[in-house]
Amino acid sequence: MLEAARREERQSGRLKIFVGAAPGVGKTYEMLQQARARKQDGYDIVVGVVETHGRKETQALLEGLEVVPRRRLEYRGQSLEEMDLDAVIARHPQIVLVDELAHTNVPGSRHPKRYLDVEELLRHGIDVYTTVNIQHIESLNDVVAQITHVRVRETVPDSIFDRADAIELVDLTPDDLIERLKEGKVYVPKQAERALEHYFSPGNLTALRELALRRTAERVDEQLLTHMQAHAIPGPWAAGERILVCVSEDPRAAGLVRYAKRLADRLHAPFTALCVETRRSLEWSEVERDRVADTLRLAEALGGEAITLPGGDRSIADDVIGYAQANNVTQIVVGKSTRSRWFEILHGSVVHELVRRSGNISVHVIAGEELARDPIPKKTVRAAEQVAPFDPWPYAAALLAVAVALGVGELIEPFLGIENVDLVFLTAVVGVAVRYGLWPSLLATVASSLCYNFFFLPPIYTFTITDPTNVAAFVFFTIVAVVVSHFAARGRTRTVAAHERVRAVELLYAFSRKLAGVGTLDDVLWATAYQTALMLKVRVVLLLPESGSIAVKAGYPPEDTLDDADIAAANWAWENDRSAGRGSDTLPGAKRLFLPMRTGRGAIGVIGIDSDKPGPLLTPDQRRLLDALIDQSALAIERVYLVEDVDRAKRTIETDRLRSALLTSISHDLKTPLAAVLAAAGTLRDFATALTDAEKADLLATIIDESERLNRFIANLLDMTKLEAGAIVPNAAPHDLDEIVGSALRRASKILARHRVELDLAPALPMVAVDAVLFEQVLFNLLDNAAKYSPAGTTIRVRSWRDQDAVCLQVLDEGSGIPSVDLEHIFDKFYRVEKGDQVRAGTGLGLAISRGFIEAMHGTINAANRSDRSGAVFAIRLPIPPAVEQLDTAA
Amino acid sequence: MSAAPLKILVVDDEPPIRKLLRMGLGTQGYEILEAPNGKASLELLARNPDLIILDLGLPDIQGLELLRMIRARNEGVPIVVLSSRGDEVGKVQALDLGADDYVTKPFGMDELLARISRSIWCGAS
Repeated sequence: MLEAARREERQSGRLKIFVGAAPGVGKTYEMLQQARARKQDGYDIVVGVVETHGRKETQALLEGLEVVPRRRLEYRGQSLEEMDLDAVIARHPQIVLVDELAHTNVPGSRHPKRYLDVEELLRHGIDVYTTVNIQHIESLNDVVAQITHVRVRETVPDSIFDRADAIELVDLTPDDLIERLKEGKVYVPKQAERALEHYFSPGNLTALRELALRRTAERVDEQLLTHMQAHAIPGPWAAGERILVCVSEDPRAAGLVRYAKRLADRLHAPFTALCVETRRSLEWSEVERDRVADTLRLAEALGGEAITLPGGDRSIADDVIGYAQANNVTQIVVGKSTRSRWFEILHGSVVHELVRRSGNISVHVIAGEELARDPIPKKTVRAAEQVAPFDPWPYAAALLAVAVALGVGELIEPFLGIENVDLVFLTAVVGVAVRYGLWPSLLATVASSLCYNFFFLPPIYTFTITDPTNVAAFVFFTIVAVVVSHFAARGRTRTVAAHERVRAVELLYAFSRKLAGVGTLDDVLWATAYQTALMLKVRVVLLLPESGSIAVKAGYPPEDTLDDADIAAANWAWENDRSAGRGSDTLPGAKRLFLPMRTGRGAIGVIGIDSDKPGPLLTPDQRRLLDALIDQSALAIERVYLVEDVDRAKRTIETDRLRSALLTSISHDLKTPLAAVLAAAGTLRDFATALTDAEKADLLATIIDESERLNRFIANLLDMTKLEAGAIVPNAAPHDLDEIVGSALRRASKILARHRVELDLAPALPMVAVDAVLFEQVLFNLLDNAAKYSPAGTTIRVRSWRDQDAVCLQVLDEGSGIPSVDLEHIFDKFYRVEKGDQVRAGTGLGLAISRGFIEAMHGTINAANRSDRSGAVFAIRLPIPPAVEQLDTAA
Repeated sequence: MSAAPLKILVVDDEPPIRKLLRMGLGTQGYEILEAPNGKASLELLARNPDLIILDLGLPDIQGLELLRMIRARNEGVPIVVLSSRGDEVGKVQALDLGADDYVTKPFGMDELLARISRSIWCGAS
């Protein structure tokens, strides 16, 4: 009634759009599912047009929905089908489904575009559900074409998107979509297959997905704003901006990151700090390298993302623009260059190039002065200075190389002339440069020049040169030697640096692979401690929070302990989330250095390191490696925590399920005998006159039997409760097994009345340490079980014998045995093997209790089927206590 | 009312309960058919019982499933569920699936007899 009244009020229908990032994400499917749900709610729904593309799942969803037959149109000799607009309007449902909003109608239709059909339907007061892919939205057409290199011709104006009453984003991750494409679950027209292969690349899909998410979010933002304005709610709310800040070794980079953070806050946008590694990065000094790492860390601490890109052969600007475009960055923040005009003319300016080529991305160029008040965070841990002790060998080798060159020169001079002798010296200089670096090669240059002059340039054996051409030759030789040694040495530095970095990356990679493979917290901690100790040659302890404080959870070497100063430093590091201890500004008296381990969600623990070497603990390179190791293991630890959380939640659900099953079972077991007792007593009372004496006796017997059964069940339940509470403490004393077997048989005599019992007990068995009461109960349960599950008149055997250091006891029956599916569960609580109709149900507790008792007495019990015939066999094995053994052998 | 005694099918896996029902119902002149499990109860449907007393905790077929199967084969026969499950959800499920009445264990013989006769006469009218 109310809904009808509301519909009367509203002239225009409502529009709901299902938006997807790309074909195949499941828009139509989602639309149909919602339509079906609506139909269930009693809405009048028809299908105007839905393209199933022959997909069975979609087809199945159409089942049961009313479909308005499509209209046939002749166009250029082809028969084409379109939605029958007039028929839908005449039918006037509450909701109509119109798939593919961007569709272009066959010429000759009323409207050239389907979205115009939709507008007409809305005007008639019919609600419309429709679907569209993000690339069809007009304002995004250019962006999509840029991303995918495919221009979509069928577009819908933004206005129809904006007037929608509801927009639902149908989201699918790129990987899932590609998977679906591979499985053939996405409709692809034959002629477009090749084009689509490119279209469905992960990069494209990620970009499109982000576009769809942003467009939908913007739409929601607008609605929110309208709503806020209408209700006078103050902001702030997010919009679709994304900021990229370029970070270099420049000391002002930290200021840039902070600027980007402020900008991001203002725009409520995420930000990313990007460092492009170029060949020049290899030559960064330790200070510069530390600074870059600290700046990236700062970005992460401020809530941003930190990315390091290896630069290609292209310019830095190319890399930055490429990243920005691939990640939908809207604003780039970059520092103003401090380089000289000359440098820029020679090498080009990154900033100029960025500005020139950024297209529709805004570029903020920040001058140094603005950043002056943002000093880079002071490093609080001193690292060891890398001062290599003087090594004379390279210089001696340089002189040796020159001496060899001199010898070779003397040998070849008579044959080849002195023009070639300088090449021999040059070879020696280059060789020294490549092998030992710049300074030894300069020594070699000087020595070579002198030798060349003294031994070869006339007048020989003097340092004077008479011939002017020889003067020129000597000067050029010296220049060439110096230049060549400089370049050769530089190449060597790079190679060495690159090798070191590759090694560090390999170590880290190996470490992360190791961490990925381990599952438990202990494994992660141990792997971290061990790997850190191994890579950095230090002693390691790991501390994690425990009941308000932190405690050592792992260490390498494992036997290390912390003294009071260490514990104080570790606690300080944990509480203040800063480094403390040896070599730091806080509590430097401690033996170890403690560093907090952080993830994006905060500190999760503390790592302590210590070395037997005196002096600073780590070189800057080692410090960086340690930081990376800490970051990785912190993430791994967090992952373990998350997995544990999930497991705990699962266990809780499982426990709840089990508990309710248990309650059902217990209530059944308690009520069944009670029902029999009550019914029998009621019958006796109310129908005494109609019953024969035999029947009355039978009813009384039932009352007694069922009361006893109830009593047994309650006793079992109590035993089980005690067992689970750990309240069963066996009163173990040496006992003769035969005696207990005898008393159990006596107690079970009534139950065993219809079976034959055969005893096969080995003579003179050693005494066993058992609780006589508990063990008799176990035997009683096994006998009761055997009687229950084997037909009357069959034999139940009880066997005992000695097997090495144990006494074994078996109860064998001649029933149908235990089905193999039940074997592993037979000792579970409330587990019952399906039985024939003549057998009364057990409590499902007897065997569980038996196992509990036997295990409390350090024995084992198991169940199997007999191999000689059908029937079950329950076997108990009790260890012979050493004292009894001695007694026994003495006797 | 025909001269032949009314037939009641008792479906319960507990022999003492079956025995009691046999005795209690026998005093009222009913003829008793006994089924210890779901399979037997379905077979005994062929003998056209006038009422079925059905335990839901049978070893072979799930109680509610058996109720559905019986109803599918015989729409008219009154069914009185006799179960140890006493919660509202369980009762509603059984009644929804076509049970005419629901008696929880433990039960009074008098009450059960009253409900049986009421169900039979309501079903017959």
